[in-house]
Amino acid sequence: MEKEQIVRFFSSPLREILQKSKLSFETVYEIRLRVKKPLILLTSQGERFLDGQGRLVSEWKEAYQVTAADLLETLEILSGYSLYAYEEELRQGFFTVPGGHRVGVAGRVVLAGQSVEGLRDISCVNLRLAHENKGCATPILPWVFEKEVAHTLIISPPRCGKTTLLRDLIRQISNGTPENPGRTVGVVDERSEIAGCYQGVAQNDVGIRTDVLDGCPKAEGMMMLIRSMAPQVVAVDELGDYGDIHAIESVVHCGCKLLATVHGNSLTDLKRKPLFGRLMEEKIFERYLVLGHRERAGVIQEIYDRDGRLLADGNGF
Amino acid sequence: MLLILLSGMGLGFSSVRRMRQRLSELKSMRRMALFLENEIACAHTLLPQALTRTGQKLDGGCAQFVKSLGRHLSCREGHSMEEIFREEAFQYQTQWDLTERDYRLLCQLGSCLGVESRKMQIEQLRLFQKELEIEIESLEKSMPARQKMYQSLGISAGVFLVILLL
Repeated sequence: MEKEQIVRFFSSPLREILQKSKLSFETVYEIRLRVKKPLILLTSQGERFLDGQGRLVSEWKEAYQVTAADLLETLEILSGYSLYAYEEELRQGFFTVPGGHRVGVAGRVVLAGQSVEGLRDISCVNLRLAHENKGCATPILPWVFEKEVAHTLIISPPRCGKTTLLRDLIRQISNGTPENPGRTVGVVDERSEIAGCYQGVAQNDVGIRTDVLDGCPKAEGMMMLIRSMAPQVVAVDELGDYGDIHAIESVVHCGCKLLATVHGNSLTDLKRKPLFGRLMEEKIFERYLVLGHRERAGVIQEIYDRDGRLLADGNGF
Repeated sequence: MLLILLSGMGLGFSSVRRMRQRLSELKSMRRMALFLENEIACAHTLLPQALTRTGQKLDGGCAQFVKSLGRHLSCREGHSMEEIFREEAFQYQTQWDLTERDYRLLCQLGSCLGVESRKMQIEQLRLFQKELEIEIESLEKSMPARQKMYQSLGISAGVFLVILLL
């Protein structure tokens, strides 16, 4: 990821600070701006503060304090001077910029009745950098994509790389391997995290045979894909809603294969959740991939089959 | 003597030409606002692209102004919309002989483009169009009389200088 590409999203004072900093942006996950608070970067080594000269400092009091003008100007640049064009996205609290990076915003919510109409007086911006990790799914591909794609559920705690793994799985299944021809994949990218679409074009590589429904609720999206795009594989991120069950059953009964992710620490942890307990009893999923922390994200701890039998653990990759 | 007379006439005609140019630019600005309104309201286009597309449909100084603005915004140079807009509007005003009022009208528009809600952008563009229409109407009404006046003043100035030198 080029540093120049990222710093161009910021106002002049912040741009200078980030340019001078010696941090590699390959290790930066998030850049957080809050009015009258220190500039914070979340990296693979934890939180980092930068002072006005771009130097790393340990105390937040020595860090550069973001001003309202910095935030407003940065927001203007991030939105391409077109915040009005993101009204729909801002209701969800985020929008996507070129490169597939996600901009989360917080401020004063404007309500219309009980529903969120929009945001104003934005005082916090979180630029979450998209990191593709091509090839991270290669070790587990034999378990998921043998002669046919297996219905697969990736179980992971937050920030352990499940979306990155899912993305690479989608890409490899879509492009095919020397052993298996590519499959048509339909992706329901509700939060624009998988493909990172910007103006309808995927910014991340999700494969040559992949169709993306960007910003669409999962249940509706799965049904739309089945009806119109004839996918062989359907991929969704972060299942968790009862509304998703009917859609999942439709996907499976249509003969499509399903790739999905869910928050969780282990298979046992998942069984306790009513929605997933039911899916596991019905043996919908043929493969369960459990991710863990260890030293870095994207580490696969265990792979289970549909009966919950351990097929491989961390030593098997 | 003839040259002095011709210079005087030339000055007069030059003022008339500048006035006509200003009228043409005001009309272009009105079309600019209409095209931008359409881009924002119907196509939901991002502002840099909306400006570039609008610039391709216009001509004269307004086309250059709009295209240049679109180019600068696309480059994400690290400045606010208002700053960039004001700089471009100033260049437009000086290169194409617009008045101070025209410049202020433009800057007023620039202060809300991009940052306000879609509804507000559209209302501001419509208000801008209305103000331009008032200006255009006033200029068109006064133009014949002013034309004659500038031409007469030009010739008179030339004649006066000739007489003075004689």
